[in-house]
Amino acid sequence: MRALLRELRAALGFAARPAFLVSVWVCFMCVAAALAFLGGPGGTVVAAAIFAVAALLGGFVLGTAIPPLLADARTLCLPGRFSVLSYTGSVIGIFCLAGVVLPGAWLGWHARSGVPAMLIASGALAGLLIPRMPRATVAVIWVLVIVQAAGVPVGQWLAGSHGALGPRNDLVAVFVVLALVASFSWWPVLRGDAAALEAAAIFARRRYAGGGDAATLAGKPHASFGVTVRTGRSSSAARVIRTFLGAPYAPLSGRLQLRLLLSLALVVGALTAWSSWRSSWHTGWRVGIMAWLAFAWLSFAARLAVLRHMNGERAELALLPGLGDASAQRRALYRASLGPPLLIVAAAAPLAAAAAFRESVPLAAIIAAGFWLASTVLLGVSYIAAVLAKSTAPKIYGTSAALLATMLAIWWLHGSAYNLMFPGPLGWILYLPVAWAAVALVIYARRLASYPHPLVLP
Amino acid sequence: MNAVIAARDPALPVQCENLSKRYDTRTVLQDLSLAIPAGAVLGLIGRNGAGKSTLIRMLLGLQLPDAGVAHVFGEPSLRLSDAVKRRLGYVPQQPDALAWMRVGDMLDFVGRMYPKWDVAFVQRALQRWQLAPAQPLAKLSPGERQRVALIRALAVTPDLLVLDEPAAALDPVARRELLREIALRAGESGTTVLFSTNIVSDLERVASHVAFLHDSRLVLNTPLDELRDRYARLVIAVASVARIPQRLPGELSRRRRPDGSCAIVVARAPHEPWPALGGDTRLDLLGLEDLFIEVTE
Repeated sequence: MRALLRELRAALGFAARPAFLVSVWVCFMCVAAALAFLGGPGGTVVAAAIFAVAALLGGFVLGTAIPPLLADARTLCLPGRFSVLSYTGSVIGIFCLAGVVLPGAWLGWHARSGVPAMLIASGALAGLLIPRMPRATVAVIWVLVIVQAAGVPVGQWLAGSHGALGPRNDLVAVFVVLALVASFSWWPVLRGDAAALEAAAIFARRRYAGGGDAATLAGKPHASFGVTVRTGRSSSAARVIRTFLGAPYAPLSGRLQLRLLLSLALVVGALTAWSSWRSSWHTGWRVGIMAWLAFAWLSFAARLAVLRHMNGERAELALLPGLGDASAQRRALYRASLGPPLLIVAAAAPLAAAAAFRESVPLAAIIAAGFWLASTVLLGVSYIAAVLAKSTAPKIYGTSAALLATMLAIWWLHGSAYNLMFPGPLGWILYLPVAWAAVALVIYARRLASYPHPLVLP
Repeated sequence: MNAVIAARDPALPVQCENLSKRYDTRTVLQDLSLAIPAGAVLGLIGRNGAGKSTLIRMLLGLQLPDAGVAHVFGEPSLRLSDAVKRRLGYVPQQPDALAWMRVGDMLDFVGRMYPKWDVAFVQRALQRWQLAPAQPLAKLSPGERQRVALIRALAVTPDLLVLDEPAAALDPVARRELLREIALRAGESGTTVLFSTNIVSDLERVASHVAFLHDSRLVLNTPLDELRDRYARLVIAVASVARIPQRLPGELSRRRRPDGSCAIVVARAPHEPWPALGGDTRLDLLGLEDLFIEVTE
């Protein structure tokens, strides 16, 4: 059984890890099913948006796992292949049931417009095709799908009803599908050979992608050192670690910080302006704050991945003099990794307060918003603790995916246009993962403290 | 170089006792003990996946062993002080840290942490290896990245230099220059060097000691000069194979050849005779590469 699981893990990669499967499916499917069958202010389209993500995940697992498995079984005569294929068949069956049949059945029952169908189809198609696409395309598609999914509740709210949507959202859904089709590399399919192994190789490259490409996203390598990194101040341990982590953690010069802030302001401002134009100034504020928080956690948390590379920043930092003893290093790591995102989250609080003041929001809604903000912080901190405490690449995916998925689900439902609060017991059920994140935080912090020094590989 | 260490010696740059490590079900290192004397250039050789990088990481305190301890300059490697870290230069197999910086900026930034940082060497080496300081690290080829990492490790003016397959991505010219630099450092400054490699000719050029890592153990650990005197292959003809004992004194490996004859690699203590088997037995003195193949195949 152990050998079978090992083979399955080798074939499926991180997708076969129980933590990943269980956590993400629990997060998405429960929310989507509850919305779909129990009803709620989200209605048809929100449920479809969340189902779409579930379908995307299912499609991704299928698209990633099947080709290498088939290739192994057919060409490599993998020992125990029949058991593997049989076991995989049941996994695939579960995914099909949860990711395709369930939404499909619900869709047939409840569909009122073309948008839910488009969303779910886009999600499933994107998941299936992602293993065959170049990284940049994958990133664009994820953004498109998420923007589309996040845009639906806002658009629905703007339309003033819970079912019908304007033609623009239909158009966006069509664009998503077109983008998927256009970005797919058709040649390997037409060629018909080695496609499976190529898919596995692409998947492996993405899993173990080095810091090189990521480093150029915001690292501004073309700037000179005098401009890139502040040199005037004393080099505290946290400051040195931030420099090793690179942008957006790196202590950048005023000019580069301004550039980054302007980029952020452009994105957030565009979203805010669009929402304000479509509806009202109040909605624009809410959307802006959500985008701001998303930037705070996702961009910083993603950058922490460089600490997982055995030959990278982790080893360099461990042997670098001047960082102090183990506890000093631990403190510096926490300060370096939590400081910048927490500052940005904190900056959102006055904005939220200003918005609440302008809208004369009732106290209960303000308390709910505060709770929502605190949950966001807790999830973010748990994620960072998980990254620091677990150092090898595959093990982190289950936890991080679950935490990020939970965060997204909470953002969608609590941070959306529904007065930052989801009525009824369902809203509180959603906070169960937050309690789980608190427990995870304690576990990971204790684990990190038990190491001889926090940068050691287990 | 002692295989068994009685007590921790602060004068020894590197020593470890009974290091063990398992990855899932696979044992990579088993009760491995090693000590490198000051000024030695130890070449660590082993087949792919033998555990060379794991051993190096555990010796430097970058990875937790399942059992055993390692010391660097007398300090536990999992709790190295700043004073010891300043004496260390390390080049990982695929150095990918600080890729967002430019070459010159990275060296400038890292150099601030080391009191003995050799700025003149950095400039000379960048020029010699044709590396532009303004070039972003992320845009360099693997070989160029490895050269930068070597410059970074050597500029520390280390007392202990640890190189994990440093020549893997280098072209022949750069490799020759690296070996020259290692020999120079060891000869002039007394730097202790530990480097892992798969290239036997590199070992023969610069190493003063060699260690073979095979089957999760150090099967051989000896000064290079003594190699030809202490290790030999006995080739026993088919007719005499049945007569040889189950195990010879100093036997390292035994292999049946396709023609039915038997090849046994044996080690002898200095000034002791080779095992006498008589009959159709041939004695071959082995070069480093032949010895490695015989022991690890």
